[in-house]
Parts: sequence; structure tokens; C-alpha cells
Amino acid sequence: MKKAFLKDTFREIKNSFGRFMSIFTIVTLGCGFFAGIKATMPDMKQGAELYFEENNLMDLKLSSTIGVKAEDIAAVKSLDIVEGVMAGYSKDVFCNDEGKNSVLRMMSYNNTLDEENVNNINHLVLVEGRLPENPGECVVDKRLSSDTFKIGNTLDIFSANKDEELSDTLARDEFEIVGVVLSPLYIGFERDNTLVGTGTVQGFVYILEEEFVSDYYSEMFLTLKDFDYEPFSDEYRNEVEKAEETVGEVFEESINQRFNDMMTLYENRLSSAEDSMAELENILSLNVDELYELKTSTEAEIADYESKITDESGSYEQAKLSQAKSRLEQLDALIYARTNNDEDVISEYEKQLSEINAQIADSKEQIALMDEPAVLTYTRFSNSDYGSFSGDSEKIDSISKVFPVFFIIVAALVCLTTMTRMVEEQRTQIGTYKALGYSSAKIASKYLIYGSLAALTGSFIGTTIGLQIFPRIIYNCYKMLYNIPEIVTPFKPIYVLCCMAVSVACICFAVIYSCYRELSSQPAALMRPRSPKAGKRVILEKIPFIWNKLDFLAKVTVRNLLRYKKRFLMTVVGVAGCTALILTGLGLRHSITSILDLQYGEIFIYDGMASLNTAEYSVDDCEQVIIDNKNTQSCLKVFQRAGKVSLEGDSQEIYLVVPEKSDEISDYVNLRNPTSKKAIELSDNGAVITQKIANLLDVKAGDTIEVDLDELGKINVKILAITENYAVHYLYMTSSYYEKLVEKPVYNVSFFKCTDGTDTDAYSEEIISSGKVLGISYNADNGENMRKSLNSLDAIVWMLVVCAGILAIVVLYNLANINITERVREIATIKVLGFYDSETSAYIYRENIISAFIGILFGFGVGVILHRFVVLTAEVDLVMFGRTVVWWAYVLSAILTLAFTALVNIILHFKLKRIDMVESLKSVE
Amino acid sequence: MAFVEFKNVYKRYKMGEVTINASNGVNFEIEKGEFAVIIGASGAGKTTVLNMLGGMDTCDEGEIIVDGKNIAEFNSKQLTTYRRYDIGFVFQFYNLINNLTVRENVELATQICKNAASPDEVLKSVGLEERLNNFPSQLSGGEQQRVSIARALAKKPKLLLCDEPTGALDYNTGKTILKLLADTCKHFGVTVIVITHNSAIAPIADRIITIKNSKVSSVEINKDPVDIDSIEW
Repeated sequence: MKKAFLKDTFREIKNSFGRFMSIFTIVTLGCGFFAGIKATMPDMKQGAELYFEENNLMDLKLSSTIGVKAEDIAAVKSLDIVEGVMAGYSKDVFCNDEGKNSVLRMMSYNNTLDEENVNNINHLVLVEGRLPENPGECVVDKRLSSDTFKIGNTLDIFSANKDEELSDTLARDEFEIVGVVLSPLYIGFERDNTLVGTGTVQGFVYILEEEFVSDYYSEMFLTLKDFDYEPFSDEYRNEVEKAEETVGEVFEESINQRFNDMMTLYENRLSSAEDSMAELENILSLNVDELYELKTSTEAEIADYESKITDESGSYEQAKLSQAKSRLEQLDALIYARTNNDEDVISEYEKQLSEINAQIADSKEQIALMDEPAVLTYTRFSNSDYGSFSGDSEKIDSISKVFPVFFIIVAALVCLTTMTRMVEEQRTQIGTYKALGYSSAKIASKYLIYGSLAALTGSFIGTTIGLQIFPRIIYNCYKMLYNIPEIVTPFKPIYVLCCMAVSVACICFAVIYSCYRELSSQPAALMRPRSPKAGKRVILEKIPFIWNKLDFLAKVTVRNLLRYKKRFLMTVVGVAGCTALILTGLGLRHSITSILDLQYGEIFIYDGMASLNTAEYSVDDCEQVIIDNKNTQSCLKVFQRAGKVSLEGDSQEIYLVVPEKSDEISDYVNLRNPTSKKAIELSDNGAVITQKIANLLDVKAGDTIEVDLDELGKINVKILAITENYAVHYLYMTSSYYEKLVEKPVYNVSFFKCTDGTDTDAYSEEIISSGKVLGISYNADNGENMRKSLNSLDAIVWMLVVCAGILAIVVLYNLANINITERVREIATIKVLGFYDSETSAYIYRENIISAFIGILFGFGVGVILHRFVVLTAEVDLVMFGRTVVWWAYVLSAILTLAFTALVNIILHFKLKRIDMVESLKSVE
Repeated sequence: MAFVEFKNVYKRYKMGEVTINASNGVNFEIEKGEFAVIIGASGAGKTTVLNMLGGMDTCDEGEIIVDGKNIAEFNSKQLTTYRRYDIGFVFQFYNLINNLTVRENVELATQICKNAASPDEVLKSVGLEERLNNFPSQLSGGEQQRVSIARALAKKPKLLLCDEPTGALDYNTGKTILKLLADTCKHFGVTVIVITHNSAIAPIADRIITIKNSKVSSVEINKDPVDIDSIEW
């Protein structure tokens, strides 16, 4: 290429830097937003993967009801698929945390293993302080945030169970807190369940392993060999489930073996006690002669054994020998007693007899108490936060399918208008080049270079920055929920290259499109100024009814708007995009959060649910505990169990809710028609189903569905009505209908209402301590937990609003700027005519404001569709989000869009002020 | 005191390190109701004079008195008001707004004035009563310039400033436009100032101000202006 031509191209960039920057900015924004959001899911997952890897997170956890011992560890370790194994102790204890009992899980920390050791699993991540080094020191869970758990404090713990002494398991009950830690085992808020207290562990505490005094481990963690699957992938899940089965089997075998050994030991002990009792009884019943007789035979027996016994003989003979020897002693003593009538010795023997008797009773009881051992295996997925982490990241991914597309469309449109304007402005120059003999392709290349350079640098910088910024911003919102300290944001060359290719292709298309007309003209025609676009009557003028009512400036505005149709359209698209994004963001947030208030405020009107310990007590006994509590307002026995309905091959869980008194259910759950809100009564002829599952199954009132109740078989339930519900699926029916379908219901839970101002922790404590209630869950807590997890949405909504704002500002400013440069003469002229600055601005503003208003209206339409799309995408099968956009989202999105428009108008005002009136004197270019 | 007075007016532009004196002590007077012509070659500094007189630019030194007020001391808002009520401007390239009809172009000016003339009447007086609803692109150059004059006159200005009003027109049309301006001056009593490089039209004016090298080189009062038809260039 010729040097002068290149020079011209680069000078062009320098001279019209504003224009170059506007293309650059919009491309940067579009690419950055797209790449950034797109990268968030992989970045989050990769960050988690790295975190798991670094801290050697377990793949499996095994425990059993009889603990874990060295032989179990050895059995599991011998498997080829197992890489590292670490056994540990744990004990759930109470501590007094600001006046209430909290359940803590004391866990063992092995400080002898170094970082690299494969058997060092689940490294603790230090947040503050240091790890325990000496006995009497502990580190606490970061989740335990109250003042009780500050570094330097002493942590006092006590047994959670009245029948157990803490000293049976732990060496001490006072620990100095030396650090705060995270554990890769718990990536979120959820901690383990426990059998004590409120049923959930508040947090973990790690102490040195040697402080545990039990003679068996509580659990063992293991990692699998060559397990390089991505931790959230289906592959990992499948493989880990396979390994869980293999390892579980070996573990169970070893546990059973140990159990049987133990059982044999107890049984032997029992039988030998029984033997010695029989013998003693026998001896005591004999007279002196008979005793002598027995003595002789025993002596013979001893001699026989002694002659047989060699070094190699087993313990059986040894035992027999010592048994015989002790019998001989007894016999001697007894013969002496009988001959001398020594009652003391006799009574001593009788005492011995009763002792053995007690021993037998003890042993029998011990054997009776030995339940069949149960083996428990856990994977990472056992903690539900693990699944929600990947679920949350996937939600962002579904958003990334829609939102950035907007930016890209708008960016393409902005590039198109900007390049078109540029080519139009340079008509004369194009003509000059043509006249000089440059080919059309070469002339076009100037604009191609110009545009491509802006697009290339913009997309490169945009994606590079976007890849860093957006995943971090989004993850920061999730940081409140997850403990994974950092995510990684690696440079992703594929993203960058794709974005660059697409942007360059777009801009080249825009350039060729806009150059085409100019380049096909004759040079002479290009040298002449283009005849100005003629004024035209607009359609509205044909309706004198409206037209005559408009004031003069309004008429001018209408004409101008319709004269620059392309620009008008583009402004409308840009503004509509902005409004739609904000509307979607706000609407989405409301759709999701509002269901909590509906579900836990309007639908579920009971306070909580207690699960009754019906295995040990009668239902009425269990319920009595609740009824007797002074804070209980009312309660209702309910049979609740999960069933399955099949859904296109997949199955969905549905809860059967069978109240004891069907007329009282309305005091606890608001059964009502989703649209008319009319109350629904339960009837003995069928069931009431919740709306989401009804939609999924596509059933109407009158249809019949099949519910699989596992061991109770499959039942066909007739649906009588559909009720409003937002989270989880329920099937409500009367007890007699259930009886007709299956059997008489065995009530297992109790819905209760508390009096106002009840201290729920104390209430649970009181009720659970009776042992007749296994656990209590409050609807308010469920709602609160869900709300917490939804708070992260706020930041995403804000990010959308900010991005939408930048989008609106860039588009409006860019287009208004083109509008001004194109009409500089006109503006200068009206200034000469004596328009004040404010009037001049208003002359231009009206067009902007009207386009903005029309854009907002369109934005509402697009936003509603977009909102619906996102809601349906983000919605999981288990919940139903609100489908409609709340009214204030419309208001707020319109106000925000207008605010952005106003901001642009303010900037423009100063630009207009600077327009020199002398421009009006110049000739037409 | 004269209606328009320039007293030692200086205007300097800084071009990099060089300062250019666009007006280097300009002095002249124009009486009310006169038809004045300011003549000078291109680059002589006549446009600078026009800009300052029209309130489109400020001077750096000196006084510009129009109807007893020193507009050199006006701020930008006062200047706008001055342009709005006191000045009518006729451009070389008409500067009509393409998107507005003939009548609307005039209305654009009248709607910001208090005592504006009726657009239709003014357009009738410049002979465009037939073309009220046409767009500028449908008019010839001469017709467009008439609209421009009508737009300026409709404001009933004290001063009508014309920047090369015939510059973009052919000979005959130019003549008719000049005639229109001269007639306007006579009939409406408006002070008309025409800026041109064409000295041939000087004889038709009441006062001829010649500008050379950013200074007024001569002011000539023509007691007996000739009719436009008698001159040729």
C-alpha cells in the first residue's frame, strides 16, 4: 500500500479520535460483557477445582455405627482405586454461645502429616491466627462469627448428652482458640446434621488428634487414585458413585467382620461364664465323697493335659488346663469346708455364684444391645452446597446466553451508523481518491483499516479486561454464600480470538455496506456536495386533526425524527435495550424473592414442623409434648411422605400431605386457586396438587396421576384441584382418601403454630429434649436461608443496571453526537437567529427525549419477553418463580433510562454551547 | 450619535505562536435607515466586522455602539437577546432548514420574537406567496435567498446584516435580491448593511465602507445612490 495513503488512514484516526473511540468503546463494552459473563461459570468451577485440589479434598467419607478401626482402614487402603486415607475423630458437643446452647462438632487435626502427604486429606485453610500446635489449643470454623469464638478466648464445651461423660471421648473440656479456619469439606453455609440439640451442627472445631481418647476413629476420609475428572461434572459423579459402591462394600465387609468378631467374643465370654456357673453350681451341690471323686478325675485330667501340652499347643489346651487347675483349687477348698463345716467358705462360694450370675446378665444385655452395624458412605455431593455451587454458576451461564446478545446487537448498530456517517462526511475525499485513480477496494480499505483497528483493539482490550472483571464481580456476590476464597480468571485465548473475529467481521460488513453507495458513484458526483436531503411531508401531516394541534417546535421535531429514520430507529433500539435490561434485572429479582414471602407468608401459615419419634413412642405421646408446651398455639398431626411421579423419563419428588383432620389444614396451609385465590376444600374423593408439578405433568382437575410410593406400591390419585404453591411439590389429601388408596396413615409429623414472640431456639430445645420429637424446622428459617442465597442476585442486578446504563449512554451520546455534527449548520443558524442556549438544546433534545420515550415503551415489551425467558431458564423444577413483572420495575427502569438520557443531554448541552456560529457562514461542504 | 458606531475595535486571533489582528483598530459609523455596503477583498477582515456587529463574536478592545448600547460589553446571553430582537441576518448560502417549509422557516424566526410580522405577509412582500408550503429543495437559489430575507425581516430587526447575499447567485438573480434589499431599506426604514467583495455594487449604497488590511481604509457617503438596474458587473 502506498505510504501517503497509509499516512492518511492513520492521521484520520488521530483527527477523528472521538469517533474512533466511540467504536472502540462500544466494541470493548460488548465484547467485555459477553466474554466476562460467559467465562464466569468455567472460572467459578475451575477456581473450586483448584481449591479442592490444593487442599486435597476427600472423594469419599466412610463411617459406621461401630466406628472405624485400623483393620477397616487397612482393608480400604488395600484397594487399588484408593490413593490416600485419613482417619479422624469427631464428637458433637455443646457450648454456650451467648446464652444458648450451640452444637459444635469437635474434629481431629493431625499435625504430623506434611502438606504433600497423600494421606493428608481436607487441609484446613487458615483465615486468621495459626493452626493448633499444642494440646489445649483449637481452631474454629469461620462460620462461627459470634464473639464467643474470637481468637484468644477459651472455648468451654460440655456433653450434649446427659448419659455421657465428655471425658470418655475427650481429654479436656477447655480449649484456647488460636485460629479461624475454613475447611474444603464445607464450601457453603451447610454443616452436618447431628442427633443432638437442634439437629444441626453450628460449626466445626479442630483440636489435635491426641486429645481424643476413644479407642476407635469416628470416620475416615479417602481420595481416589487417578481421579482427574472435573469435580462438578457428571463424569465425576458417576465415577465417584461407582467407587463409593466398591469401597463401601469392602468397608462394610470389614465392619461386619469386626462386628462378628466382637459378637463372638461377647458370646464366648457369656458361654464361659455360663460354663463356670454351671460348674460352680454343680460343685456346690456335691457331698464330700462325690467331691473326692471329682477331685480324682480332675487330677487325672490335669496330668493328661500336662503330658499333652508342648510349646506348640494352642491356647485351647492352656485354657482347659488352667480351668482344671482352678477347679482343683475350688475342690480342695470345698472339701476342707465340708469336712470342717466351715460355713464362711460356703457362703463365699455362693457370693461368687451370684457375681457370675450378674456377669451373665450383663453379657446378655450387651449382646442384646449390639445392633447390626450400619455403614455410612458420603461423597462430596452429600453436602448440598456442593451441588448448589455448580447450580449457581450454571444459572449465570443461562443468563449469559441472553444479556450479552443485546450488547452485541447494539454494538453492531452503533458501528454501522458511525461508519456510515464517516463515509458520508468523507464523500469529497473519496471522490478525490477516485479522481486520482485509486481503486474502490483501496479506498474502502482505508475505512476497513480504520474500523478493524478500532474493533480489534476494542475487542482485545474488552475481552481481556472483561475476562478479569466480570467473573470476579459476580463471584464476589457469591462469596457471601461460598467459602472458596478465590476463583481463577485465566486468559482465555479462544474467547479473545472469537470476539475479535466476530467484531472485525461485523465492522467490515458495516464499512462495506456504507461505502458501497459512495464508491459506486462517479468521482465528479462525489466532488459535488450531495444535494441535501429534501424535506418531506410526514404521514402525520395528513391528519390535520392532530397535526394542527401540535405547536411549531413539535412539528419540527416530528419531521426531524422521521427524516433521520435510521438514527431514530437505532436510538430506539439502544434505549429499548437499556430499559429491557433494567426491567429484566429488577423484575427477575422480584420474581424470585417474592415467592419467599408468598410461600412462607401466605401459603404456609404454620410456623414449623416437628418430626415425631414414632419409632419409640406412640404418636399421641409425641404430640402431647408439643401440645403441652406453653408456647404452642395449636398443632395438627400430619402424615407426610415423599413419593415420585415420573416426568418424561425423569422422576420428580412430590410430598404427600395427609392431615389428621382435613378441615383444620386450612389453618396451616392456605390452599387456594392460583388465579382466583378462592379457598380450596379437601374432599374424600381426590387430592389437591400444587401448581408447578401440575404444569410439569400437564394435569388438570379431573385427571389422574400415578404416584410411586416405593414399598407401598404405586397409587393412582385423582386430582380435584390445583393449588397455589411456589417451592417444592405437594399432594394434599384427606386421611380417608389415603386410606382408600393405601392404608390407614401413620402420622409422623406435626404442623404447629407458636404464640407470638416465641423464642424458637428455646422452643426447639424444650421439645427436642423430651426425646419424642426428632427435629424441628421452621418455615421462617427455611425462608430466611433461601433469601440469603438469593441476596447474591442483588449484585448481579446492579451489574446489569450499570451495564445497561453505560450501554444507553454510549448509544445515545454517539447517536446524538452524529446528529449534531451532521446538523452543525442548522444549529449555528438557529443560534444566529437568536435562540438562547437552552432553546437550542431543547430543539435537539426533543428528538432525543421522544426517541427515548418510544424506546422505553419498546423496552417494556422486550423486557417482559426477556424476563419471562430468563425466569423460565433459571427456574428449576422444584420451584416456581413469579411470572409477571412487578409494576415498580417498570417505573424504576423507565426512571433510570430517563436519568441516563438526561445525563447524555447534559453532556450535549455543553457540546451545543461550543458550536461556533461562524459555522453558519461557511459554504456547504 | 450615529446608529452604528465602531470605535477603535480590535480583534485578535492566536494561531499557534502568531497573533493575527483580524480587526486592527476599526472605526466607522452608519446612520439609521442607511443602506450601507462594506467592501473588501477576501481576507481583508470584513467578515470579522460582520461577526462582531451581528453579535456572533466579541471584540478584544474598543466599543461597538448599536442604537446607543455598547454591545462590546454584552455577555453571551445579552448577545443572544440582541441577535434575537435587533438583528436580521441574511446568509450567503441562505441557511434555510431543509426540513421545514418556506412558511415554517420564517416561523422559526417569528416564534421567538415578540412583535414579529406575520410570516405570510412578509413572504408575500418578497413575492413568494405562491410557495408558502414548498420545501427549500423545491426552490431556486434566488427564491431561497428571498426566504432567507423574509425570515430576517419577519423579526422586524433594527439592523439587517447581509453576508455576500449575491455570492451564490447568478447575475440577474443577484440583482433582484439587491433590489429587494434596497427596497426593504427604503420602505421599512431598516438599516441594511451588505458585506461584499464586489465593489461594482457600491454605487447603489448610501454609504460605502472599504476595508483593507483589517482597517477601514475609506468611508464614502454617496449622496445620490443609483438605481440597481443601472449598474453592471
